[in-house]
Amino acid sequence: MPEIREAHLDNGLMVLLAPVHNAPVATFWVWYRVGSRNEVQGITGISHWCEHMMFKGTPTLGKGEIMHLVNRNGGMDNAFTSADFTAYFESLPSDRIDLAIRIEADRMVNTLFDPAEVASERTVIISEREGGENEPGFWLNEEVQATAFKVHSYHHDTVGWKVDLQTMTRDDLYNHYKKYYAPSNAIVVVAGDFDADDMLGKIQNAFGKIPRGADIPPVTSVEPPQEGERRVKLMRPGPTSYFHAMYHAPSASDPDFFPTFVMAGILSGVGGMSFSGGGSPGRSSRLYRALVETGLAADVDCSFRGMRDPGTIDLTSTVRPGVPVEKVERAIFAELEKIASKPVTDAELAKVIKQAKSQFVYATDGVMNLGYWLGQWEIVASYKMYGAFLDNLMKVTKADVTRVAAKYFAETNRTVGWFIPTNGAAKPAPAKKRARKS
Amino acid sequence: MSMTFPITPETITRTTLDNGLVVLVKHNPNNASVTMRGRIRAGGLYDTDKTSGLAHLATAALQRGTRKRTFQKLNEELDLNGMSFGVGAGMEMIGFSGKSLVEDFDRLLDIASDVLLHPTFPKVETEKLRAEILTDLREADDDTQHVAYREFRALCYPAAHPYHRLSDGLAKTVKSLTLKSLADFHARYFRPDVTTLVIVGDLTAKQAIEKIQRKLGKWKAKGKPEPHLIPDAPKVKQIVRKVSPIAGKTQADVVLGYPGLRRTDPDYYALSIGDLIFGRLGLYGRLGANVRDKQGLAYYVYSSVEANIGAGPWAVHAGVNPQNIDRAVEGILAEIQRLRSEPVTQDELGEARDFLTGSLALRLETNDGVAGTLGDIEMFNLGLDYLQRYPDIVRSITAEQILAASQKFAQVENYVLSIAGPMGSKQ
Repeated sequence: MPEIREAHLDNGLMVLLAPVHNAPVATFWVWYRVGSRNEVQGITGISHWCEHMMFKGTPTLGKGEIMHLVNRNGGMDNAFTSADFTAYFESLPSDRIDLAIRIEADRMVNTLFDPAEVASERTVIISEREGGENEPGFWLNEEVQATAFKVHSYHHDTVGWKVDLQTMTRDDLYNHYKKYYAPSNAIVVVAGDFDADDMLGKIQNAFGKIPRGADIPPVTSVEPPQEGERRVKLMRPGPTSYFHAMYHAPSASDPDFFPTFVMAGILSGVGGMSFSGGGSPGRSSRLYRALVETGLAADVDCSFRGMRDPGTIDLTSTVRPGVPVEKVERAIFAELEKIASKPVTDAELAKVIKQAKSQFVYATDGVMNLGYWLGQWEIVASYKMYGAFLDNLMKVTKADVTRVAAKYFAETNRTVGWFIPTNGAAKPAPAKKRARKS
Repeated sequence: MSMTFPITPETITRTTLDNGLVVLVKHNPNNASVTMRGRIRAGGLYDTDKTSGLAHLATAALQRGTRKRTFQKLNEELDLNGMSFGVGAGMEMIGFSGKSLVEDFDRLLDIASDVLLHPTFPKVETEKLRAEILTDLREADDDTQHVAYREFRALCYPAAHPYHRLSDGLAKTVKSLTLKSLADFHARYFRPDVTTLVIVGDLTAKQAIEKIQRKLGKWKAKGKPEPHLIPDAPKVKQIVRKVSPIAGKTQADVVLGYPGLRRTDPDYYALSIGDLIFGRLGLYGRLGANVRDKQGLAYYVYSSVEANIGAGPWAVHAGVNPQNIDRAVEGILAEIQRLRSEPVTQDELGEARDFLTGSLALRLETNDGVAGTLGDIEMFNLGLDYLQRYPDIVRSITAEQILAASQKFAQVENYVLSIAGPMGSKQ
């Protein structure tokens, strides 16, 4: 774990620097504390659309020029929006990293939001949503999520509702950008081959003049406790049935976070710690054994990640054609009841720790992941959690796991969704008739 | 810009064991892990139209039971030690890969040798696997990207050509495969003398080779290896268009393209640099500038050259709303026409060259990046000094060569167009 240097500019910009000299590359990130959690009905998807517009030009950088400039300098760049943040990064040979500083300081304040560009990007964003709509899982997730969250903006998908994408205006977008894209609402993260003092000086020069701006409007919404099971059914054409149960979960800064992480790891294996995913195959996990090995499901997953506000634990499964969804539901709930009532074993605990340890080591191969995790953790809790992650995991006891399982897997805390294919795909193939001997 | 090359004849150790297994090792002391990647020169190219999916199923089945381990025991061992190991068949190659902490490498190697050399194909577990693959195929039939591409391949390559089919197979053929045929496939095609093993991690070459010799040195093959060849593919001589309706979708997927070239074809660099400009650099190159940025018709529209042992396709892929298909196809054809009519600009060529040479450091930063490139170097005989020669190769390609390659491999009068989505089949 390299030494992280933390700094704060006068205008509120937070800077995290992680010098690593294994390879002549560096990765420069800007994380904005704005995502779909900051959105209300009528402008859902606005943060994601703003992200798209950030590539469409400033007075100095032409539309599309940013990506070409980065490529020309031997680098790669991208951006993504989630419920909690919008992040931009450039990975470049270390002697070209100044380009990233220039680009990010420029587009933080000077992005044009040209009306013609907004108009042409509208159909691109809708196209992105429509690609998602081709997946049964997208529909089911949207349905379950909107049912589990009545009040808090985790209610809707980051891409936004289609009607909002069709009706949102250029001024809506520009106001959102002006409101949330400020140095006091941003974290610069740099990881790789550079000198910390030198880099800090450059960041100060490029970003220091940017005015702090008005206070950032906080998210005041709190999802009230769910007091009873909610159920949804989705009937659409599809290849098979799908199951999704969503439970309200502790946030990243909640003391229950680490026990819940361990619990999810015991149920379906520890996810990858790298930006590009990976993770343990998890085929010795409880859910795999109960659902896939028994032929009920083609796959099953218990997913839990750190969110800024209380998020969710998601149990999802692809049902084998011909198997009734009820059977998959019963098998999953049986496993959740088991982990909520009987202590897990020392061996299971040790397995999760070892998986997490290995994932951590794999993720430190290359500086992208360091940039990613420092930013991600700072958004949802504190960047210091990244370095303290394994220590915190190792403090989790068997009793902790049972306790959080009982608490969060309560029936009153769940929203259950079934995707039922309307083209008969869930049914087993008709049995072949055989001639009988008389 | 300073150039450091993670792969040179000095930093890589290449050894051939007595049984023909080729081992490549790069010592990386910066990360306490080991990445293992292997390639076996076999795959779906040996399937027939009746056995399509055999390589895929047989290879996936290796892990379902071995001489020393049941499927459950194998999974337990991997999970307990935070390791990963997998093996899968593609069309030209069977690939296997694993990751572990350095201290667990012996165990990873033991698992790899057990799976590759001594699978037992237990009936119950293998049938479970077959059912999982059939579910995958069923989902694939409902996936517009998959169906568009699958049908494109079937139209682009004649029935007798391996590329006519995808190596995953079809439900009909996968259902009919016998257990015996899986074991036979393994016995026939898994040999050390067609296998390359790449190790990148915190091990010296000496340590790695010693361990590999111990675990895999006894791997023997009988007779001679099978020829590993993919035949030429004839050019497309007309416009071939197919629409595959899939209910319940919002978006259509479009694949437009041609048979391309082999990796070892002398035109490879010219075509792939042209392709970078055409459909990848920046936001999907010229295609993206036209079809996405200017016209707003697609979130993704890109091109790729699949140059392998065989001449895989050169094709454009796009996701579009059905009402925009015609306009998107027009835009794609316009860009193909442009690429074929005028040389790319010096500015575009400069950017492509700078990207390819400048991004080497990024692409080879990680163990995975180095292992992947070493695998390619070995597979296509590029030489351990390949990276050192690479900048000169890239700079030697001219706009005229790109023009000639584009004209050779693409036309607007003849192409294959496959569309899958929520349309009637008359569209």
